[in-house]
Amino acid sequence: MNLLSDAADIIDNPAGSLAGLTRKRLGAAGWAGYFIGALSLFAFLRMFMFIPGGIASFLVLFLLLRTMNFVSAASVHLALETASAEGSALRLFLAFGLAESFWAFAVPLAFFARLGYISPFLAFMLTLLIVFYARVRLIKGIYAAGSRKAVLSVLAPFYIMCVLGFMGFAWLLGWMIWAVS
Amino acid sequence: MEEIKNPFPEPENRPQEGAASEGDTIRHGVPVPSGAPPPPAQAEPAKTATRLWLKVLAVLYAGAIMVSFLVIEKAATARKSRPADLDLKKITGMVPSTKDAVAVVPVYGGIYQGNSPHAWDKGSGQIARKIDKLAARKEVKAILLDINSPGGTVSAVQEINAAILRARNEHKKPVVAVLGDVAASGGYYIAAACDKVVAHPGTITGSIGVIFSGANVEGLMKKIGYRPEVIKSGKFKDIGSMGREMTPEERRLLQAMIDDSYDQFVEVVSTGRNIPPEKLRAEIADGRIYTGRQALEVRLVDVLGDTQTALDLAGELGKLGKNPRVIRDTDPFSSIFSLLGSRLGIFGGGRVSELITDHPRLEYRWQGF
Repeated sequence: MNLLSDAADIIDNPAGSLAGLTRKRLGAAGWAGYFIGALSLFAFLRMFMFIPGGIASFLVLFLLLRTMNFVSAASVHLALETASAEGSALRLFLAFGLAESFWAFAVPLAFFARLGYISPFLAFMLTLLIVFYARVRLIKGIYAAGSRKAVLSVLAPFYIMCVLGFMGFAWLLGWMIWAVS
Repeated sequence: MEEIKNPFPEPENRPQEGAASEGDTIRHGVPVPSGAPPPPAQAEPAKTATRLWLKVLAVLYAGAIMVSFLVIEKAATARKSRPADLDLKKITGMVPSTKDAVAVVPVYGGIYQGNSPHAWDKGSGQIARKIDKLAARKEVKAILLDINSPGGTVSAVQEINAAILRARNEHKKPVVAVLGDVAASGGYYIAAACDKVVAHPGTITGSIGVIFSGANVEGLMKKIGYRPEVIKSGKFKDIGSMGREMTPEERRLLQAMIDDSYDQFVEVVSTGRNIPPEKLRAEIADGRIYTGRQALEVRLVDVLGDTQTALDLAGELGKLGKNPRVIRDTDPFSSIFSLLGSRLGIFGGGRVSELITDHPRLEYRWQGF
């Protein structure tokens, strides 16, 4: 099975395997990862009835994950290029799909959460941590960057979100003062 | 024995992106041409073990996904059999408790129909909607109107009055009014529609009547050389104008309007308080104000007491007993905006705006302040 073989190669040797894989094969593995990730997250969220059921709901989640990863890959790429680490943004986006497949861990954790052994939030955060770790490994493989650079670049989208959020809040505060005065 | 080296020890030694072609195979992450000899035998076990683990995990994952959808199906079925409000509460934890309670609706300040673009300003429409919304809620067994108002415009007061009657007649929810510092004129008009009225002994209430007030600034305008030009379709079109003396005919017309509004007020108080209209007109409803204790003597008030007394009374009418659970339906956003508005109001912007938009109007209002 090609997908499993490629995944095994990447797990054994991320740097070498990612560099050696053709874009087509990496793409297939990445999209499969995105699908598995979205399916797992959908199952996790549905188990706690956080989202509505149905194909449309799954597709929305799938698109949302894809979009978030697209933006995330773009900002990680930008951050790493700024730090003089070279690599392909497209490969990174596809590789992030592989990292997304680690959402599969959310499904068994959701069973434990349903049984009351852990909280759903903890289950979610644990899986997110695993996905982050996978992303760091993949970034190190694609960009030949050190661990620190990789971790910082993975967090870059969150910095950007925080900055944008703060700017939005400041604007909202200004608008409210203008509106009531 | 040949030493196995890291194929890419340094970044510059990495193969170029897309260096592998479609027919190539990957061995330990290294693209190897199709015709190349097989790799040394010791590299295979680790690779095979990873693949085997991945296969096992894939099978387990498929099983877990199937079981998870069975769990989801079961949870969804159980959810459908529960009432919707309970579901929301369970999932989000943001819906308040559904235990039976008395809802408190504050009616503070002048009662006017909202003319502000700010959604958080409390006009009569917002108060009426709030009463309607609370009356429709299952867990609300009675409503307490906390009134501290000198009244307001006729239609605004009547809008709240209609909402109270809807709550009483359509939703069968008892409504109790507690009068604060002042509940005069329009403030009392809405209290009269309630099942019971509670007042402090020192509350100012009464002032049953209607008022239309304007001003004649003709002299002032002449002094400053301002002369309004009015072109009108009918002789009464500028009735109540501040630029000239009121004619006797206009005075009669306005008096008739005021008498009609007064009749409506008397009718509401008579029906609500079960006092004959003749007695009201002759002894009570001549515009005078009463303290809470005096109002009790003339039956405008049922009980003397404070807010807790009113809550206990509402609880008993709603069959909840004394000291019932209370719902104060406050919107956090409106509270923030109100706070901001009140803080910024110290600069005087609100007062200037009020003065500019002020105009003569028919009011159930006590003008004691």
